[in-house]
Amino acid sequence: MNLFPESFFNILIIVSLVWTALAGLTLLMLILADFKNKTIW
Amino acid sequence: MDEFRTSVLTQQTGFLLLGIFGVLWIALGIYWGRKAKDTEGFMLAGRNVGLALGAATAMATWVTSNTIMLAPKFALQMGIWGMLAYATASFGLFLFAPMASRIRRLLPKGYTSGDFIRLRYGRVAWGLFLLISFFYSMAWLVSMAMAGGILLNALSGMRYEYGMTVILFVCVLYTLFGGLYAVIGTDFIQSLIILAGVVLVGVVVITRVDLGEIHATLAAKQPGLIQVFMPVALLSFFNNMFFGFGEIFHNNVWWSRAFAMREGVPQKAFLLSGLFWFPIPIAAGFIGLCAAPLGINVPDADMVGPLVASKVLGTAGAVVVFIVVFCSLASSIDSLLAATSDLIAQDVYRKMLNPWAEEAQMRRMATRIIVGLGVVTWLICLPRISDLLSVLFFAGPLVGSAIWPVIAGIYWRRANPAGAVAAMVLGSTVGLIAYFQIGWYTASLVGATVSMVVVGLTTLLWPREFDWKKLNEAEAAS
Repeated sequence: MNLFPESFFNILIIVSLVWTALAGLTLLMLILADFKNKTIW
Repeated sequence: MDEFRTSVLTQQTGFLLLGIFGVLWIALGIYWGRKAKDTEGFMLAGRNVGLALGAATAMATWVTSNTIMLAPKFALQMGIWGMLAYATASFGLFLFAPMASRIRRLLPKGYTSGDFIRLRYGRVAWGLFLLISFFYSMAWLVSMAMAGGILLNALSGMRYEYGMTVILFVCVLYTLFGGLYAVIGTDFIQSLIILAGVVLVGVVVITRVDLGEIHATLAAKQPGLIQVFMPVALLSFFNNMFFGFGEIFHNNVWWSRAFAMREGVPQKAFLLSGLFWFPIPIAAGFIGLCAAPLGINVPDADMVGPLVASKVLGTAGAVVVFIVVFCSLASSIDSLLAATSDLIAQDVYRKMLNPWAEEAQMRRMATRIIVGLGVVTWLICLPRISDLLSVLFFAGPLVGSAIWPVIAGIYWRRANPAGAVAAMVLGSTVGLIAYFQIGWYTASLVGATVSMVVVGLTTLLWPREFDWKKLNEAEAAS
């Protein structure tokens, strides 16, 4: 039975968490940029 | 008493959290609602939504309670492929990005997805499309409200009726006060809470449980979960992807956002929302795989996420899960209420019943429809008929069959109305047969494939030129 290697499993989990955190930070930066440019609404 | 066995919070804490966030959303709804001075403001947030809110609202709407609660269950039952299969639902957002931009250009004064189908394919296709859309939207709305009651009951032990009623009441109220302004504004805050909650729980879990240990435990006890080849998971991978395409391409929830965003924003916003959404089923799902290494007994697979979170974070973990679940429910229910009421107000009331409706009448009608939808949903959910939750899966082949009429209608000048109608009828029929004869995991795939063949063949055999300007001029004239 071919199993996903441990390294793939670790990378998958860690990358997904970092990616999710970056998504939140990006949203915050975008709203600040929109606020600065008065383009929120 | 049985239904309370997996509660990780007290009822008092549950009611307190519901109260705090419910009041917050309603207050924000009233605050943002002051911006909605006319129908266009109420239904489409003034068509001027910027990139940050645009990306956040698309992401938050697509994060349902299923994403948070079912992703760990998928991981527990289908392992790595289960999480990856769930993540493919984000592909719909990626593919809708260029479509949203074109939709905004083709229908600068459009209100709903129904407007497009009516102008592009005529009244028969429009009627059929509306039936599919209403069925799907109601199924999604009912499943979200029911899931709300069930999840809050499971998390805090509060009665199903109370949790379901409070969630629905709060969402109806702030959507009523603020229209799409309130929906999009609260979606932004809910997005941040969801992302922060998922990261917080995930990071604490990997500091408490070694990832190598999880892999080793799975390899020894449940190797199927980390197996490279898993045919059923692969089928569900593609089925999930096509269900996602169908849901996003046809539903007014997404079209109304395309109309609401300012010029130049839709494509970037939907691409970003897909990027933001993609890792969530993996980040929220992998904790389901930690149950065995942590020695957690899982009496109910639906509860594996909260059980792991409360094991590693204590009551604080359960509170985080509760808040994230509440936010993901609210962000989907409010969007469905707003978009479905737009569809009824615009396509049924204005276009079928009262073409001369004044501004004030439209606004009054939109608010009545939101309340009506809330009441109907509440009445359907009240008896807690659990089979209703599976109704959403029936919608899979129906929405799958709408994928190609929508794509062809937007991009192919020669796609014809008869082909669109035939694609929806045949795609739905054959897809439903596949649902019953083969399995749910093939229904959307079959419905979409049949729809693709029918649209392709009818366009090739009976091409009919369409003037794109009709999409705009007809609106201007009406």
